[in-house]
Amino acid sequence: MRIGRTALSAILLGVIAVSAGGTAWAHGERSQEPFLRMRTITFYDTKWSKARVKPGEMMDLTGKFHTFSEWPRAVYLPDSIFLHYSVPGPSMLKKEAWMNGMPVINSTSTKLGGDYDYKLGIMGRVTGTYHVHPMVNIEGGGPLVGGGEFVTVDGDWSNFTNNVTTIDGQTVDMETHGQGRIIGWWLLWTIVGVFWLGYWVVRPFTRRIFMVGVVPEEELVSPGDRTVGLVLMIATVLIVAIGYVTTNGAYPITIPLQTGRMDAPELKPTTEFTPYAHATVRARPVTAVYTVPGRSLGMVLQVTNGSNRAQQLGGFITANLQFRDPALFPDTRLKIKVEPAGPIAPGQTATLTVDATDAEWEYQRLAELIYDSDSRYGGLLEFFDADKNRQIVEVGGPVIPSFEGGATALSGGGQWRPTTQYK
Amino acid sequence: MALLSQQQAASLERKFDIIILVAAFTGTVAGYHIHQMLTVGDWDFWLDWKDRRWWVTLTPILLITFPAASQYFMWEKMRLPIGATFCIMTLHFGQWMNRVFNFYYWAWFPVNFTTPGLMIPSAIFLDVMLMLTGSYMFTALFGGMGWSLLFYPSNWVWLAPFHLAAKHPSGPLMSIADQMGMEYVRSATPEYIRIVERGTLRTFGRDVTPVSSFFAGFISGLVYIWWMFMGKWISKPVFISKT
Repeated sequence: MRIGRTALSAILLGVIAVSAGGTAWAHGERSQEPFLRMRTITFYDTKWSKARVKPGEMMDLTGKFHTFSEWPRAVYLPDSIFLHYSVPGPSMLKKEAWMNGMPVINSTSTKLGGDYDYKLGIMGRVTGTYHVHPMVNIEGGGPLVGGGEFVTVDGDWSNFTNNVTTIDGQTVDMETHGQGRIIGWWLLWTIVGVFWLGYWVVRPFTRRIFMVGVVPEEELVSPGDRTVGLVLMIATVLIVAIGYVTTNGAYPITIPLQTGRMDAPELKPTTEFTPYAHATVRARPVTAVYTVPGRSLGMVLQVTNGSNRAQQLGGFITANLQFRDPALFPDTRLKIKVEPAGPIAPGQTATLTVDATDAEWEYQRLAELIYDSDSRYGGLLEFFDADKNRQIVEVGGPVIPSFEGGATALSGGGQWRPTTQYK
Repeated sequence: MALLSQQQAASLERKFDIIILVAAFTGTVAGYHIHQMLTVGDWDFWLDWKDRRWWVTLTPILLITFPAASQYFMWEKMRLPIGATFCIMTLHFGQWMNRVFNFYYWAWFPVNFTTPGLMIPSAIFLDVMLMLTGSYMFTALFGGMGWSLLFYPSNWVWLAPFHLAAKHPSGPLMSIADQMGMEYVRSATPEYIRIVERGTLRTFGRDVTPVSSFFAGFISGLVYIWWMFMGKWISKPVFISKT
C-alpha cells in the first residue's frame, strides 16, 4: 500500500510538473549532479519554434548558454566543445548550427564567463515523437544538456529525400547517394569470395586433417589449384586497379574529410540584452542557505549598479530553471521574492535577499547539491531596466543546508538569518 | 553396428563437413566481429571517420589478426588456403547484418553512412600468397604489404562519391561525408572525438594515403607473425591422460 501511494504521488507530481510548464524532462537530465547543472553550462531563453513538423520540414531550436566563470574543478574546462542536440539517432537531422553568428559545423572553443547565442536548424525525418533538447558536449567532460520539449514528426517519411548540391553542380540525395556503387562493388567481391571459399569446401575438407603429411602435397594442393589461385590473385589486383582508376576518372575532384575548427566569437551587447562579459551590474554573494524541507534557496547578495539606469533584479536562472519576479512577470511559473523590492539606482550598492522557493528544487533533484563534492550554488541573475532591457550577471557561492522544517529562506519561522559569513 | 556403404559414408562425411563449416562460421563471426568493433570500431563504422590516415593505417593492421591465426590452422592442419578469406567473409556477413538490421531498420541510419570497409581483395591476396609460397615469412612480408596496399584502392571505388565537395548553406566547404556526419545525428558522438586526419604521419604533398598504406603494410607483417604464433598456440592438440 505504502509503495503504491508513493508511486502514485511520484506519477502525479511528474504529470503536474510536465503539464504545468512547456518543458518536459525525459532523458535523465535530472540525474546529472546539481553542481554540474548549476555551475557549468546554463541554458536559458531556450525556444522550440515548432512542436510538430512534417518529414522534410524545418524547425529552429534557439537560445543562449552561459559558461560559468567559477568552473568546477571536477570538470574539464570548455576549451573544446561541440554544440549539439539530443534526439534518438537521426530521427531529426541537424541542418544548421550557429553560435554567436558563426557556423559551428565542427567543434569549437568557448571562454569562461561567456554567453553564446545558439541556433540549431533541425529537419524532421522519421515519424515519431521525440524529446529534443540542446546539448553541449565538453571534450573530457561529457554532455551537458538543457531542458527539452517533445516534438512530433508527423507524416509519411518513406519518400524522404535529403538533397545537397556539390560545387560542380550535381544534386545528390544523401539518403541513397552512392548506393548503386556500394551494392554493385560489394556484390562483385562477395561473389569472388564465395567462389574462392566454395572452390575449396565443395570437396570434402575435414578428411584433409588426416592427409597432411601422409599424402603427397600435390594431392592436397594441385598445380591446377595453384594456377587458379594465381589467376585469382592477378585478377584481384587488376580489378582493384581498374576500379580505382575509373573511379578517379568519374570523380576527379574530391576533398578529404574537413576537420578545421573556428573559435566562437564573443556575443556583443545590444540595447535589449547585455551578456555577462559586458554587464555593468555586479553581484557579490554574501551568504546562501538551502532549506531542505521548505525547498527553498535563499541568497543574500550585495549588488552594485554600475550602469547609468536603474536596474531591478527580476530573475534567477539556474540548472535550466528560470525563476522570475511576479511583479515584473505575472505569468511566471517559478517565482522569486526579492527584498527590498524595486530598482537599484545608478551607482548605488544594495544588499538584496532573494528567496527562490518551489517544489521544483526537489523534483529536479537539485536538493542533492548538499551531497555533492562541491556544495556551491551558481546561476544567472537577470537585471532589468525600466524598458525591460536585460543584463545577465553571474552569481554563485557556498550554500549551507538547513534541515529545519517549515521555514523558507525568507518567510516565517525565523530559523534562518542572513549573516555575513564571508567577504 | 551395420557397416555403412561407401555412399552412406560419403554422405555422412559431407554432413559432418557442413556441421564443422557452420560451427566455424558462427564462431568466427562472433569472435572476429567483436574484435573488429573493439579495435577498429568507429573508423570502420561511420562514413565520416574513413579518412586517409587513421582508417587506412589501423584497419589493415588490426584486422590481419584473425586471418593470420586462421591461416596457420587451416594451412598447417588442412592445407586449405582460405583462412583469411573465410575470416573476412564471416566478418562482412556480421557487419552487414548489424548495419542493415540494427543501424538501418532500428536506428534509421542510411546504409551508405555505415558501410564497412571492404577487405575481400586483401584477404584473397593474403591467402593466395600463402598458397603459392608455403611460407609464413613471405606471406607476412609480401602478403601483409599487399593486404594493406589493396585496402584503400578497393574501398575508394565506393567511397569516392562521398568525397565530392559541397558548400554548406552556412558557409564552410564540406565533403558529402562530413555533411552526412553533421546531419545524421549521433548524440553520443560529438565531433571532437572523431580522430581523423590528425597525427605525425604526414606527407610531403597531397598524397597522404600511400604513406599510411605502406606504414600499415610494414606493421601488418609484424602483426601477422605475432598472430600466426597465436594460431599455432591455439591449434596445438592437448592430449588428456586416460588415467
